Amino acid sequence: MTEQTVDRPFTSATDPAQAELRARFKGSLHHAVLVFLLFLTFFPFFIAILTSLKSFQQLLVNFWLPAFPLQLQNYVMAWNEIYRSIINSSLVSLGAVTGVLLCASLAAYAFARIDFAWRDAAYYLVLSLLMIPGVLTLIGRYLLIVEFGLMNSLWGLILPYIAGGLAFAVFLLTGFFSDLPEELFEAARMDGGTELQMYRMIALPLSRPIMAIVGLLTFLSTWGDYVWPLLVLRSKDKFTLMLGLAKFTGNSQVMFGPLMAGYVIASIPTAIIIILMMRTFAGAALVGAFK
Amino acid sequence: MSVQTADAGLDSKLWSGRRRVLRRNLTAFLFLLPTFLFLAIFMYQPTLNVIYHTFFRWDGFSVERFVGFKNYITMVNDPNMHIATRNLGWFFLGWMLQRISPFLVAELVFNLKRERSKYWYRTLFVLPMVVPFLVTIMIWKFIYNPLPTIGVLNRMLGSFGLESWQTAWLSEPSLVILALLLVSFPWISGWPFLIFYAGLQQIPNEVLDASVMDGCNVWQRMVRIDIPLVITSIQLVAIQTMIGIIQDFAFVLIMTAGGPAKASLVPGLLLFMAAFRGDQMGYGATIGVTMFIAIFILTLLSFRYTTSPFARTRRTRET
Repeated sequence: MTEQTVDRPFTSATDPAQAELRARFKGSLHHAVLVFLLFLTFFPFFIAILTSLKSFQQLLVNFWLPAFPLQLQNYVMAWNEIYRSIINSSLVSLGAVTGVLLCASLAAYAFARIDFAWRDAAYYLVLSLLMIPGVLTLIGRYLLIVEFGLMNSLWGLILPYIAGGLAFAVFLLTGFFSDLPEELFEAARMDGGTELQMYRMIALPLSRPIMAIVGLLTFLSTWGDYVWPLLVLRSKDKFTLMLGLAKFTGNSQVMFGPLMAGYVIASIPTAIIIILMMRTFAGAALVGAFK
Repeated sequence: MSVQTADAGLDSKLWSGRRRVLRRNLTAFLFLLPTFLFLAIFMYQPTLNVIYHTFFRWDGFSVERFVGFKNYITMVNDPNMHIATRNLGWFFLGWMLQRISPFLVAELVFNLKRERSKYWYRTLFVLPMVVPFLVTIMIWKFIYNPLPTIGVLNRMLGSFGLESWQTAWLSEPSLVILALLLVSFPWISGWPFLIFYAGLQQIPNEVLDASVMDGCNVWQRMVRIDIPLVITSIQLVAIQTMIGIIQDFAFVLIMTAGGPAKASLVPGLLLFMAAFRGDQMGYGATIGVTMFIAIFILTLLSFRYTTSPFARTRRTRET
């Protein structure tokens, strides 16, 4: 629409048929560029999926196209190799998400809705953590985990993950809670509601979209972490998915089929969660969060 | 007598008021308690502990000897640190361009005529985000595989008859940084694209209509209207990228572990090696604190030297 009207002043001298042709050509060039970029974006993933269905021999002979029979046992092998680490990763991420949402929503409610002494100072104390890079605290956190005897334990991941996600979560949720209309709380206060009741009955139910976003961000960052599990976890039955995949990559010298099958399996949980979120309320809010 | 009762009344009112404040403070304190417990144990304590120990020769456990600024002096003179910093410079440039470049693609999609095609391109471009980043880079490791029959890139060159170009991409000191920068080409999928697109959608329709009325073409509109109006999104992405680039080393650790022969070493990886593979916790802490200071300064600078969108548009109007 816009392009046509933009072009009109410059093309008014030529006959309309030619202008139409030019607009069409421009339009298809536009699409061609985008489709080419899409192709490049998806190419590695196509190759990974293709390779996941081939044996090593099939890969050597027929690299670019699907080879038959499809080697579905690659997926069985990969599953046996990483299912344990998928369970571990799920436990860790769920623990971290629950902890972050619970603590951060309580704190954010206090910052946004209760007028207490040193409120601003306490808030800035939390926000200042956004400036601290994770790599700086890496050594200190490691020593704590050793001291607490949490080495090679999933708690050694969950507890620092909760702490690491809190600052940003408090920041987002405080902003959201402050924007809730004061009348709601005023009415509840008239009826003698305590702060805890107002938090549970008013603030929490109204903040489901933003809670979903905070949960999603926490989930993705903990699910995809590699360095911290590498430091904390020692035995294979405790490995998280990323750690398990990295070890699997190191161990399978020529078993590219099962390896790629492992990569595909590893992408399924995140895919399901993201697509569910996009389809529901959070999708709309997700765009709104980055005004 | 009467005065005294009035006084007592006032006193009790004051007292009840003070009790209310006290109650409120106590409630807030209980609400904040879990958060601050976590932060105190796992954030504040480790941070202070690490900063304190930059002045020590320290292995984290038994050895702990005060050495003053020796760690900082060692770091400034450490040839590994020089290499790592130079490499980081290249990564910084490359990744900054990478993360800003989706703006052009966002413009391409945004300028499509039909809402339906906009929707589909947008969805498809962000779809690969469902694949965890680590999995993506492991797939790219497969693409760069040195074997001429297995590595996707080598195989591709082979089928174009360019066998002489086949190489071990990640083991060639002169190529390794370029190869790492090209990972996940064309770099569209991800947050920057979403943020830029959301930014473009925020531009008021009247502004776009006015630009059409004034007969400005797509290119002029992008430079004169879109970029100034979404500069906050661009700044947001730039700062996030900067912080990420300076500290993240998982990518390099998995792809090359800093190799071949330190050709892709970065400061974060040097910290990791010193602290966890070399028992030099004090030295690792020093690198960490330096990275923190660098991030802090760069963030402040980037806030200082980017004007707000309104100031920018005002200036455009005047000229």
